[in-house]
Amino acid sequence: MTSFALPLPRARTADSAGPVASALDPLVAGAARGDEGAFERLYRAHVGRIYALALRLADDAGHAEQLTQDVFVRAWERLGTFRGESGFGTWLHRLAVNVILTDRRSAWRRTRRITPSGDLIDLEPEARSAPPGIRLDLEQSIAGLPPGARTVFVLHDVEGYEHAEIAAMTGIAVGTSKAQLFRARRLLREALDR
Amino acid sequence: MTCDQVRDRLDGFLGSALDPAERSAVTRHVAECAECRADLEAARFLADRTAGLRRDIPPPADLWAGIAPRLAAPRRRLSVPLGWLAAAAVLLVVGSSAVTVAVLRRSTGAIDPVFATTEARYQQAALELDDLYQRVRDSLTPDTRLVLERNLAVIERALGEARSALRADPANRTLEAIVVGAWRRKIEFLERAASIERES
Repeated sequence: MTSFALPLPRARTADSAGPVASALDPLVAGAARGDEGAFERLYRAHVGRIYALALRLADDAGHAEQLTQDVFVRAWERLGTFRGESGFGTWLHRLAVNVILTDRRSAWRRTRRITPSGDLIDLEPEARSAPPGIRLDLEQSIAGLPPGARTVFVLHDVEGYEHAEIAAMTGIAVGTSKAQLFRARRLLREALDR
Repeated sequence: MTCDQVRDRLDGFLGSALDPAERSAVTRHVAECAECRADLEAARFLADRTAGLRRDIPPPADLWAGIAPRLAAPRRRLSVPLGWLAAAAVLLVVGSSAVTVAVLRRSTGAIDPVFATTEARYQQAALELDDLYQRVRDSLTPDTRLVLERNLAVIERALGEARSALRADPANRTLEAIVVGAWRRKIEFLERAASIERES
């Protein structure tokens, strides 16, 4: 049987320099001391990765831009808590996931009927529509997934997080995360096979 | 092996991470279970395609102009929010004036840096007022929350549409003014929402 290489656990391979080197990174240290120039250089080094994440999780490109800006502002505010246990890129990526998911929870609370449920995957807004009958590429198909399935697919298959990590970040059960992943994969295959 | 056990092993199966006994068990199961076979085929179908996705996508515009002005705020938010509404109100007035200047002096070209700076301040004010609202939210009745949040959703939808239109046509001063108006409505609404507890 042919073997297929699954995506690497990318969230943890982003910082090849490792925690010690990152802790000594003069840019990170400078930014943590309040050097905006150093922080701008960090922004320029990492913005593409954060924007890619936001673009795949947000509802549109404009919202992704706003979320990307929010992530870096939050990072600036919280740099003082960065201790270098993980690489800066890993820390920033996790912060980005939290900022984006928090924004989604707030938005969904406003647009959906209020329920005591804290499970954001249960509160499914409509998926972004994809043109019927048109063969889609993978990015378009991901964009067309229902948000809960899209979130888990992006975090697991694209960004390399484990189900337990996704459950902790999103507030869903591990089993729900797995179910959403299989749902997402089937939907994507159907969309790409059309 | 159950379906749940097989599903837990599908990625390992595709990645050759299973020992021979587990691999055989998965193979036997998927040969007889259509559901798990469909999951395996979907995972296999997507594996290489997903690995080829771009991980680094530069934003279409430089977002730093909208970030830098927000870095001037204190790194630690004050735990006592009592001064926030007054501060936000001052910011609203200052921001509105700055945008008015920017709108008046612009004619063509990309989004004006002054406008971008001011919009960044609106974003920051809205973010922090929203945090403040979240703190009082639990003290509100479900009906009140429903009314507030549905109205806020309408404002945010209008703001999102206006921002999208402005990005497509950055020299359009009418759109710029609409964006400003939408931000002001959002800030004002959040101020009212966040102050409900003190009024009741």
